Amino acid sequence: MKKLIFTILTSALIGISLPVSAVTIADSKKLICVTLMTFDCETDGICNKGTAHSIDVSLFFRIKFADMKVVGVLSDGSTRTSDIALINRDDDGIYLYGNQKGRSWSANIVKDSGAMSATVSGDNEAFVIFGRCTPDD
Amino acid sequence: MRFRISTGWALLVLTFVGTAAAQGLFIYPKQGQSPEQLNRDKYECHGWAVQQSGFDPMNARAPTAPSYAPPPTEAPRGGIVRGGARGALLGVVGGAIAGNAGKGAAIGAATGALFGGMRRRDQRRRQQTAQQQYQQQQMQAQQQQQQAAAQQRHGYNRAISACLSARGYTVN
Repeated sequence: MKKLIFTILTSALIGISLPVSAVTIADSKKLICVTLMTFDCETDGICNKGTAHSIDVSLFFRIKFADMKVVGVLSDGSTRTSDIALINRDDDGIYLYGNQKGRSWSANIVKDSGAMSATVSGDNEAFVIFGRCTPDD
Repeated sequence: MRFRISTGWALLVLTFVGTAAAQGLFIYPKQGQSPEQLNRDKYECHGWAVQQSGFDPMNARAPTAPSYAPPPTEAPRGGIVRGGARGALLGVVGGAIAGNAGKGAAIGAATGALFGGMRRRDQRRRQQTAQQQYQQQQMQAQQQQQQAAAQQRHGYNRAISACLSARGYTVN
C-alpha cells in the first residue's frame, strides 16, 4: 500500500514537473545565463583569466529574445543592458551579435547543453566569456 | 540688578575663556591669588598669547580631511593609451584616465552598458592604484594638518605659560 502511494505521488510530481522542463533552449523566449570564466586579452598577447568580477561584467544576465536585449544585474542591484543587433539560429545553436560603446560582441549558445561562449572586442582588446544558459520562461 | 547680571556674565565669560584657553596646563597660584583673579589673569594672558602665537584655541577647528578631488575612473573602453606611448605611460595614472569621479564599476553602472562597460584587469589595477594614492594623499595631508595644529598649540601654551609665570603663577 505504501509503495503504491509512493509510486502515485512520484508519478504525479514527475507529471507536474514535465511541462516546466519541457521548455528547451531552442524554444525559450528568455534565457538566464551565468558567467563562469573570463579572459581579458591585450595586443601584447597576454590574456588574464578571471571571473565576472575581474572584468566588471555581470555574473548573471538574461537574454530577452523578444526585446532584443541582454540585461545583466550587478551585485549592487543596478542593471546593464546591451542591445542585440542580430539573432541567428540553426539546429545546433543560437547566435547573437551586437555592438556597444566602441565594442562589438557575439555570443554562441549551444542548444543541447546551454554552453555559452561570448567574445567582446574593441580597441586593442578582447574579452572572452564562458558560461552556461538555461531557459527562463 | 542690572549691574549684578552684567558682573555675572563677565565672570562666566572669564571662567569659560580661562578654562578653555588654559586647557592642558596646570596652574598654581603661588602668591595666593583668588580664583577670580586667576580667571582674570588667564583671560588677559590668553589674549596676549593669541597675539604672540597667532593661534587661538577658542577658534581652532579640528583638522578635516583635505578636499582633494578623488581619482577619476578610467574609461572602460579600450585603447586608452595608444601605440608606443602605452608602455611609458602605464605608470602615470593621471594621464591614462578619463571620465568622472566615482568608484570601481561606476562608469558601467552609470551608463548601463553591459559589454561596453567591461574593463580589463590592467584598467582595474590602475584604478585601484589611483584610489590608494588618493587615500595616502588624504592621510598625509591630514597628518600635516594635525602636526601644524599641534605646533601652533605648543606655541600658544608657551606664550600663555610665560604670561602667567610673570604674574606669579607656577605653570606646568
